[in-house]
Amino acid sequence: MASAESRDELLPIIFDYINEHCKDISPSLKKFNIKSSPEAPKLTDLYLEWNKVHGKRMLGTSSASPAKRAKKDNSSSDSSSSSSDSESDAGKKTTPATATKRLHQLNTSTGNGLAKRLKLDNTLAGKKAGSGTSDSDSDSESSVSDNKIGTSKKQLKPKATQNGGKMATKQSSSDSSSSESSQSDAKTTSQKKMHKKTPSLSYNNVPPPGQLSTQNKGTTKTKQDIAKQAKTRQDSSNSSDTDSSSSDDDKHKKTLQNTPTGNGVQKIKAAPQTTPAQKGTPTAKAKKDSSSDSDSSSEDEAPKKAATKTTPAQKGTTPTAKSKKDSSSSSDSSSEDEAPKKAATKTTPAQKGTTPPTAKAKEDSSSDSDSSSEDEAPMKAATKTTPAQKGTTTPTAKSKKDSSSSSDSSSEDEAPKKAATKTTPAQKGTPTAKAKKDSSSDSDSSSEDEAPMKAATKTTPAQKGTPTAKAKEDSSSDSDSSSVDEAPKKAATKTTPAQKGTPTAKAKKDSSSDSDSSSEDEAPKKAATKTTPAQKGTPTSKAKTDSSSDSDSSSEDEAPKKAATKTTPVQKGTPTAKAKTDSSSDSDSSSEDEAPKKAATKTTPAQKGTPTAKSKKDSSSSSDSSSEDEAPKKAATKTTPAQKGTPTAKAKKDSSSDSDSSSEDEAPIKAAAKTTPAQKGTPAAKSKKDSSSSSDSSSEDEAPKKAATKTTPAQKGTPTAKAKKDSSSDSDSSSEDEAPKKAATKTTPAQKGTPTAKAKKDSSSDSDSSSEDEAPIKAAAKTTPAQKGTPTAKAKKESSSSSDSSSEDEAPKKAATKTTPAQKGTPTAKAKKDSSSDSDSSSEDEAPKKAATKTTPAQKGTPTAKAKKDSSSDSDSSSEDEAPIKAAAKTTPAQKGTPTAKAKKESSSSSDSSSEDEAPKKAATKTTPAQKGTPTAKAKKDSSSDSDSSSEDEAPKKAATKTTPAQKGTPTAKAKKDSSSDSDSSSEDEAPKKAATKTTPAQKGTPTAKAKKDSSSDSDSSSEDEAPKQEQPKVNSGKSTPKGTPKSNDSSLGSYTENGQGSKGPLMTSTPATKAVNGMNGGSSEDSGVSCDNNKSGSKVPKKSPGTPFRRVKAEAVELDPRLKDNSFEAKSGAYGSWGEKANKDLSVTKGKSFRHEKTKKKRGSYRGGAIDLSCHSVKFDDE
Amino acid sequence: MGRPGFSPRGGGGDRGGFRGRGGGGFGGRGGDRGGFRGGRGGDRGGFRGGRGGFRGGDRGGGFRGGDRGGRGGRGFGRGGRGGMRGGKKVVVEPHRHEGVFISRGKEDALVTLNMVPGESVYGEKRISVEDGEKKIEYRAWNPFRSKLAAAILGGVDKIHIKPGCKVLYLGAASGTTVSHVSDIVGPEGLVYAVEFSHRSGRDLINVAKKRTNIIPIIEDARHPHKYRMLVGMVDTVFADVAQPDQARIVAINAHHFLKNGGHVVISIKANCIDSTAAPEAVFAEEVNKLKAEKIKPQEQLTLEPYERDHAVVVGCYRPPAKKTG
Repeated sequence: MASAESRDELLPIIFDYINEHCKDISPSLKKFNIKSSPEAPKLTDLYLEWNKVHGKRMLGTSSASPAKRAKKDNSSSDSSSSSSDSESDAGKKTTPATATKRLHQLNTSTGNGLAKRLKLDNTLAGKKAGSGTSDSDSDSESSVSDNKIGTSKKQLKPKATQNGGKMATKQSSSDSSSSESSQSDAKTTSQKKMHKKTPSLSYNNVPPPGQLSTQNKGTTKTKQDIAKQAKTRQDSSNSSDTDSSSSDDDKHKKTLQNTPTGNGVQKIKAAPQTTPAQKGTPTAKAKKDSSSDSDSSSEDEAPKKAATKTTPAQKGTTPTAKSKKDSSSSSDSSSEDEAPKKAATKTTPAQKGTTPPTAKAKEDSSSDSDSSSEDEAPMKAATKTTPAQKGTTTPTAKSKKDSSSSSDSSSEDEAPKKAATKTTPAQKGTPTAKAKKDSSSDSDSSSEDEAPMKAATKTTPAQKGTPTAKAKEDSSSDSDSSSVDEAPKKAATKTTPAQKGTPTAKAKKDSSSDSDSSSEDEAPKKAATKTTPAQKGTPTSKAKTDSSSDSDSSSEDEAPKKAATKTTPVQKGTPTAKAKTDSSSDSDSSSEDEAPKKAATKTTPAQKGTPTAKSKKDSSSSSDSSSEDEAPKKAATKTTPAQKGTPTAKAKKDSSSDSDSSSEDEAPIKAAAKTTPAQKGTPAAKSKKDSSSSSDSSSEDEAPKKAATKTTPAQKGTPTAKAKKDSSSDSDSSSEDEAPKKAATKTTPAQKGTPTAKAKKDSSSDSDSSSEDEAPIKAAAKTTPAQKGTPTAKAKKESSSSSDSSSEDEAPKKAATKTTPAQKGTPTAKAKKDSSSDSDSSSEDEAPKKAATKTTPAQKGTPTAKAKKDSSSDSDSSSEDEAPIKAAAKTTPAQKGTPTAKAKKESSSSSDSSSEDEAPKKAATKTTPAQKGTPTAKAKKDSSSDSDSSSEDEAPKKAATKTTPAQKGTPTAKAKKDSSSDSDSSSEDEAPKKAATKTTPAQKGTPTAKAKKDSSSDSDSSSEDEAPKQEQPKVNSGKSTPKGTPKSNDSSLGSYTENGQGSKGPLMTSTPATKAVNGMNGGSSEDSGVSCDNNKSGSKVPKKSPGTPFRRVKAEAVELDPRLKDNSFEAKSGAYGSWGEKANKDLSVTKGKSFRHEKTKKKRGSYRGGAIDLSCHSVKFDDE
Repeated sequence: MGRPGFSPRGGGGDRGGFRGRGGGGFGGRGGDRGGFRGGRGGDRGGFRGGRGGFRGGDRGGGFRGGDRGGRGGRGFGRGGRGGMRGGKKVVVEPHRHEGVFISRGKEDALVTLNMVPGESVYGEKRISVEDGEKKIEYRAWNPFRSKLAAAILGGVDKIHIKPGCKVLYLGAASGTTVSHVSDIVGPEGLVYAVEFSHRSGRDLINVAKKRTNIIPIIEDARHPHKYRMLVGMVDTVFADVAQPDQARIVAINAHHFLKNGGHVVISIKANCIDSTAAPEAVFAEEVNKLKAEKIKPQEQLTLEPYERDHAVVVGCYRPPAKKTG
């Protein structure tokens, strides 16, 4: 039958291979040939005989040759796998018939080599598979495979062995049946057969080879190779399978199972062991999740796999990852609980423990639909944190992946697992990507997952950069549906290292809990991941993440990627880059991101120092924006980026203060400050705090205002005042916000008196604007002395403002907006206070307040508060917001604090959220330099742009950024990103930019914000935000984009942008009042903030001096006569045919030395121009 | 004739003597380069000879030959008719700006009546026209070397420099343009040439030696009180100082010496004000500064293509109310 044919075919082929590859293999080939002919008994006999005769040789040769063969096979398999994810599956499937025969043959042949060969093959296959998989799986699969490969060369071996055995058998037998059951059956059958023929191991190995061989078209050169291939395929297939369908999951399970069963590789065993237990739980969780999602089984597998994978790479971390996965799988309710528990137990001590609580909190909040995903996120965060602690973010990534996978389905799970297994170092980046994928998968399914995975893979190369990319991906995935969850997860992962990350994750979860909860979760996760990199010393990664988040806001997936790309460059610069990314992420994820960032930053800050601080700022800012973004539409995507950013933001926050992301940020910050242990305990505390925080937040908001006016020190007191206002009622908060806005607009530094006035003004309808104003004020306050304190104040302000604005907006408009606010700062607080819409705002405000005042402790409390808020926000916000609109979705993003703002904005319009995010970013950038004025300006801008959340977010960010110059630069970049991401915001932003450059500076910014608020539409606010961002970027680019100078520039830019926004804003909406305000603002704090023109025209320098280059002439400020706009010869009347036309032709094309040469020639008198006309061609100034 | 143009050249020694730059004559690149040689005819000849040799020509015996060689190289009329003149074909007609002329021939050129016939100030070409018995000599005015010439060629409406006019020239440099201004204002006019650089001031002084209507002032134009005793009330202030604060410098000098209703002609080099800003913005900014100094801008003109990122602004200082009205 086939055997004879196969023999005939195989023999020549094998011989060829042997001849080609290895002489050593020749004997094995012979064996193979023999074996091939009599498939079962004969082969075995032959093997035995061969073994007896050439046993030693076989072993030695086979081992060597197999490796070579395996390589070849792997390459072939790789190609096949590379072709597509389905290929591996198809290969497996297709192979079965032919492959089974060949496999049998191979098995027999391998029987000799057996364990050794298998091991070798596995190793080879693992390596090869890694390459091959990567090649094959261009998409997410490739990344996954890579990850697996990288991480798991060890794992791969075990897996391979396991796979070789079980998998091969299963596959061979089950090829026909793709489903797991079929596989299991196949395994059993094949194993039986194989056992009969030869040792189980060899058999096992053989089957995969058979598949490979079949795929390779009868190239059954070496069983080992095949086995390797099979392993590799399995790995790849696992990764790819996840994407493709349950079959992949099955494979993964098999691999996982195989690994444990494995063959005994100690490492592998360890991993399996951990995994199994985890698997058991995960599966249960997964089942739970699966109920929510589609594939429960697949999910379970995924977690298991992840656990196994992660474990090898990250011994300590893996457990956490598993726990995370488990939690994620269980996501819904039980899963959540489990996840935290596991995380606590498994993951690193304090952090893990902390993360779990956060995860729990998230879960609680998310409990509704997305709760599972949220839970997963926390879990991941915990896991991630551990890795981060170790020095590798990979764990977090894994956790993220897990969370995502759990939420979505099997595909997601697999992706995470793969990532974990594949490459620990790269894993960090990849994990996030996986998480992203997972998130995406949740909503969409496999396709989304793949995308994230791809992102992860891409990111992996540059680990730092990659993580961000992953985060971006996650964010993108978030956009789909699950994206929210992913974001939180990521944040959690990221944050976990720095406890801050977890809080953010929680926040995200909360926000996501409603509809958006998933996306929110993802954002936090990303943030966490980001934070880790930053901790490691790779601020860039954070920045990237942030950037990705930015991109997310616009189109979640695209945006993140772009952001990643953009941010990456910056990242290279490291701190600045990070800051930028953070800023960007901040904008997107706003509240959520910020929270994670803060956490990360907090932890990191000490470590990195400035970078972290920057990152913190960014994160904070990002969180704000993210929350907003999330709340609206793209919350998920945004959140994710924000999450990434959040870590940095956290760092920034830590340094500066929580100010930015109000509730969310504060929460993260607190978490960070507290660190792991505190966090664990904190949740409850947090909840308490939240409740208190809600009140506090109001006070905080007030404080920021005061601080703005007074400057930093007073901030605390002022925030409280704000919080009080907020607590009193949304309208009140709005009024408060308005006051700050006014203050900000009028005079950034000493805005004490002004803020109140603003509050009064704003109190009426423009909650957003008011909040924005507050933010600026806070920023101003922050800027001055204790940056940290100020940032927090800002954050508080922002949160308050966001909440306020949201509440106000919500109240007037819809509950949805309201929910968002709650999400931002202190969801719980919000829920409590507002129960209706007001609760949100209040909670947010409270959170910020806490952060500002206490910073660390408050932060801790804040995270919990956030979580609570989120959970509560979901319910609360949902109740409030949901009743009206989509409060839940929005709230989730807002949960962190900024998210709420975003949510509000989102409720009003998606664009708004983006704008908010941008605003935060700007703030961050601005803050960095010590430019107090600039931060305030930023805050103002933020407030103006996003009125509610954005302004607030920006302010915090700015404050954060202020601490570190480099960060400033990055924030600006982020701001840019944000602006870009948000289509709506972009338009507005552009306008602001122009305004900034041309029009007067700071004043305009705030007014514009107000105007935007007035306009009411979120889109407007978003546009405003974007404008600031753009301005910042521009400034950066022009002046000193990079690191040191960039910071100052950024800060200045940020201020500019803000100013620009403000200017625009006034123009946009209530011009008179706004203008007046602008004038006030411009005069007061942020002349620099205004557009370039303003700067030039007015006082060239106040703020510019630090970062901006010296300029005598502010191009923007100069009004050009249209007739004089072009100084060129062509523009002159009568140019054609004039005596100088020829000279112009000669000289206009030259430059530098050649120009000098040309002109010298003409000076000699050799020039001949023709006729001279006597007409007048000058431009006459009209006589007055 | 054509020759006369060269005959003065014989006296080139003189020129060279006081001015390194003059040695070259318009013929020569050699001349320009010969600035170092100290202006001895012999020197020049040698130089030229060498040059000729380079061209493969041995012809350079006399300096005149050398000249011709140079011209030949340019591809211009070889016949010794030199340069701009193209023989007698040249017709000189007055420009719409009083004191400025245009030589219309094969190629048009901006010229001024040479106040010191037979001498070139900086090696520019001279065009002599016989009007009956009188021999009138004009000096070519190269817009690439003079911003005022560039402004005139570019089509400025009014330069406010005319015969009999008193001009305060800030940034006189070597006196290249000052010499033409001196030609324009003529014997009745006065040119206060302020230059702070001693090196170029030396050349300026040498120019002033030949032109009695030039009063060289080697001082910083920022401190007009240092030369206030030398300068009377002027009708026009021409400034080519290329300083970031040139608006202020012009304003100070205008306050000191410019009569009410007098005019200011300022050449602005954008890069000297702010090299990072758009030239147009710089010009606008400078105009605004002038406005603040009671100098009412009247017209602005780009100096492209003769100068890059330059503009000339003509303003009126403390214009009479009637005029403004």
